[in-house]
Amino acid sequence: MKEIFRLALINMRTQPLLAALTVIGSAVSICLVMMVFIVRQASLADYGNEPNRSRTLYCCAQVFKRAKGGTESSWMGGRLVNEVFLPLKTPQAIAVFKGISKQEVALTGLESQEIYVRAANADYFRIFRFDLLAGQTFTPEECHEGSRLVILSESVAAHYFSHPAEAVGQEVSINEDSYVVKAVVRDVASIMKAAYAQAWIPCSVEEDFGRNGPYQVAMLGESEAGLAAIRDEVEQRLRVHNQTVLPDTLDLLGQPASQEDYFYRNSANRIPGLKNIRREFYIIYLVLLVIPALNIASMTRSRLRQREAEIGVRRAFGATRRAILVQTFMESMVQTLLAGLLGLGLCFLLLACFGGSITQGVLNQSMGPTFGFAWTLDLSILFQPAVWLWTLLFCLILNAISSLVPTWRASRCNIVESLK
Amino acid sequence: MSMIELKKVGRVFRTSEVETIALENVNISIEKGEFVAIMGPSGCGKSTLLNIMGLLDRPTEGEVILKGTPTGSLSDRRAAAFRNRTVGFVFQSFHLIPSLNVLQNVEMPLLYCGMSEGKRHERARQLLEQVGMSHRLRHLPSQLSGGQSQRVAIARAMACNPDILLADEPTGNLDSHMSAEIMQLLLQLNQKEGRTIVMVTHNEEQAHQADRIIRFFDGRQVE
Ligand SMILES: Nc1ncnc2c1ncn2[C@@H]1O[C@H](COP(=O)(O)OP(=O)(O)O)[C@@H](O)[C@H]1O
Ligand SMILES: [Mg+2]
Repeated sequence: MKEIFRLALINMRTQPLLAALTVIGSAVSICLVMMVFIVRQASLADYGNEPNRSRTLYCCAQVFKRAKGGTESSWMGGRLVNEVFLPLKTPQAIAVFKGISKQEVALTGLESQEIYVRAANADYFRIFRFDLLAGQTFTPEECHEGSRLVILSESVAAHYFSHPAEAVGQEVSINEDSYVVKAVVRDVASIMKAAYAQAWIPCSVEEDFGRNGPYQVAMLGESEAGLAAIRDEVEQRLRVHNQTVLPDTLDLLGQPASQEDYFYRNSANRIPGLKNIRREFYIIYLVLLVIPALNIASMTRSRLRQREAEIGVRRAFGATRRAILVQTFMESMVQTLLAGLLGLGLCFLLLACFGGSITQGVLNQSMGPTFGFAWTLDLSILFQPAVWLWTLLFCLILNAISSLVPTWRASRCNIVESLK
Repeated sequence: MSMIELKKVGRVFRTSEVETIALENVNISIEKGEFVAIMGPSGCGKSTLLNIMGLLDRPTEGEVILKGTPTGSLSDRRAAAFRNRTVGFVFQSFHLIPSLNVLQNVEMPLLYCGMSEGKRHERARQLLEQVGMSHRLRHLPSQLSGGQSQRVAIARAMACNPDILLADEPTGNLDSHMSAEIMQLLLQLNQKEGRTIVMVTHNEEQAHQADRIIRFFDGRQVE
């Protein structure tokens, strides 16, 4: 094993150009694949402001099937939230919130800005994690009463106040209503579908018994395994609830659902085709790996051609075909792993610089930028084991495609021919 | 039991256009401890013969028996083991691995008989001392003269302590002074250590130092 590493280094030094080209080529390939993977990971895994995704269930849409025929679909009505979701016993927390909407924010006397505002209840701030820079999040009472309070993101606050602590207690106007700043939190990346906003105001749902409505719900389970119990309880309550809406029926279209489902559920009356989306990603990964791998294969081949004499000598002195195969394959594995590290580094560099446009491109997100709009990715995603494991997996695949055939050929070469 | 036994060995090279008969009906038996010189004009099949004896090539006809083992149907693994432990090769153009230093070149065959790193070092040093190259352990092949390269190549051939040494024009690329030195080394290995040596040479003087001369002409043994 040690010998294999030593030989890999020796050979990289004796064929520096080919080795460098191979490593750079592989690194670029790994970088592209990981870029896509990381963006997907950032949208689905426990990460950043949404650290509990794996033990959260979401419900954001409802469809009424009318007895007369036809359907009405919308986000969830207040009545459904009050009768089915809020009384649930199994979740540890039940966040009720609305979708983000563009609103005008202003400080008296200053020109106004358009920002994304979201209404949310107290539990919302338990399920999603916000870095408080000053002040406190809403209490249940404040939400219940619909108090005129607002939590601002750092960059919005910075536009009007010189320091976050200075903002707390000040008044700002949102769509010409006056709100008191209760807290300032660090900016949230727009990839956080539930947590993202630039300002949050209390969400009061308790008095709202509307049939259709603007609400979404996130329910926190004890663990991923505990989510089944929540689903069961929701189903049970929904059955009872459905008796009260007769002769119509209320359908949640497969919800409550996972983070992945929630992330891609962009229309109230359609279940997202997760299988197709996953398949698309696998195809993207494969294309991003296979095409460079074929190029690298030709480099591996010419690298081994140049070493034909050496391989012949080794065989003449007792190396088996297997030994040659293992040695040459492991040598390129060492290079590919090196390329993997390099590629990962490159990927983070690119995400750090152009995270926004990359995220937007990969996910087809269509939110238009507003003032202080944050597309950036929190680079802590680097430390997720899944990212490293998948990099390793991609390296293995890349290496298998790019060097299995050339190394197999090299191991089969005719000894006398290669010594000529 | 002969060390090397060739029975009716033939080797034909076929390409799409031509068929070259490199060896035809060769019968040779070489005993343990013999020093045999092979002579003949160039292109008469000497190298082909040596390659076949050393299992680098397979005959198209006949049988090669090494130390009593018929080698025709050996698996790659067992053939590799023979090349590793029973036979040592010395080539006219040395064939040292250019990216490895002298010590690493001599250690290379030991890698394939699974010797530990410490033992490999020790054995390689000892062999290099024997051929008078212990002062050049860290040199690369490109930094050695022809005679020095061939000494290292002989040390490498001896690495796994083989019974048989096959030398294909080992002095062909060397001047007469260096040739004599290499010849001396081979004679020593034969006389002191009892190794069986088969050497191809164009040099009559060297050939007469061997126990026996086999002459070839056009793929046939003539003497
Ligand atoms: N791979 C090969 N393909 C075709 N012909 C070959 C091949 N190797 C050797 N020969 C032919 O076989 C004959 C013997 O070659 P070789 O054993 O190298 O001769 P020597 O070593 O005596 O000079 C020559 O005519 C040579 O051209
Ligand atoms: Mg020859």
